[in-house]
Amino acid sequence: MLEDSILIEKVKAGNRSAFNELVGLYRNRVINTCYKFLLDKENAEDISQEVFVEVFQSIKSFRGDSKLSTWILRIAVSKCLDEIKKRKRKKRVSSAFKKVHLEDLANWLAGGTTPEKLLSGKEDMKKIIKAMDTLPDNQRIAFTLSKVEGYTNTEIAEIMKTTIIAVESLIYRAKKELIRKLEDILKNV
Amino acid sequence: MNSQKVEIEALQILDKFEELQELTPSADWDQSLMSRIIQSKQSTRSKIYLSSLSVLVVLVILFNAGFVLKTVINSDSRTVSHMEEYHTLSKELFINQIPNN
Repeated sequence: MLEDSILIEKVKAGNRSAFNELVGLYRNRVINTCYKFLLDKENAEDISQEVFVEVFQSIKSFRGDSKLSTWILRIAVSKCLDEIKKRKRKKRVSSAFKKVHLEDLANWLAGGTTPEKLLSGKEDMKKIIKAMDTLPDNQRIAFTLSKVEGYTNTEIAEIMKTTIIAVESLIYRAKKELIRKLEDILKNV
Repeated sequence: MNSQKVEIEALQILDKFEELQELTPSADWDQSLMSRIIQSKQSTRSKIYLSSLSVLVVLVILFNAGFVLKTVINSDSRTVSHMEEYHTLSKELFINQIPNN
């Protein structure tokens, strides 16, 4: 496996296999980060591809001030927030979960889960999205990243350009606010 | 629903979010990414082509405007009196009598 700086130089020089290696290194992490933010598989895959297109287009402007992973994940977070804003504008949040995906149906047919469970899961996700939408961006980012496997508070702090203490405080406040918001939503059901 | 039940349910929902299974990318994810990158390359090329074309058009327009301006400035603008105009016209129309005033 190539070292980050060598990999960056090769990608900057237009080396295709180096770019493929970069994608292979960060693909799963970017997709899962997008998934936690967007809570929709298709959307997460789509946005994660946009992230790598942007990486490809702007790698030449990457000066190495931060780690490559931090830079890529910053792009991912920013793309996800843009997508969430677009969703809010188009009020697509609920409609995204109205459709039952074919894979879910296949899962049900295979005996994996019942449609009731499937629907209740989707309902819960809708509630989470509704609650998340009320959080300020910095709380949302800190909390969501803390729930993606592999992120340490140090890394979240680097991505958010803040301190570890600030990240811990943001996560704590976000969780508290989410519980309060979810309770409100449940009371109004 | 009492408040304790609500709190427990809220925590359960949050747990579901925290325990969301990792996503495995679909089989065509890599291929789809590559086609997007090729598309982005093409659109960058066409953007470069379009911007150089528009620069060229602007230059041609500026050159043309400069040329017209230069011609206007250099052309001798002499004022012609009404009498002179009458004389010229009368000569062209073969009219002998011209009003004196």
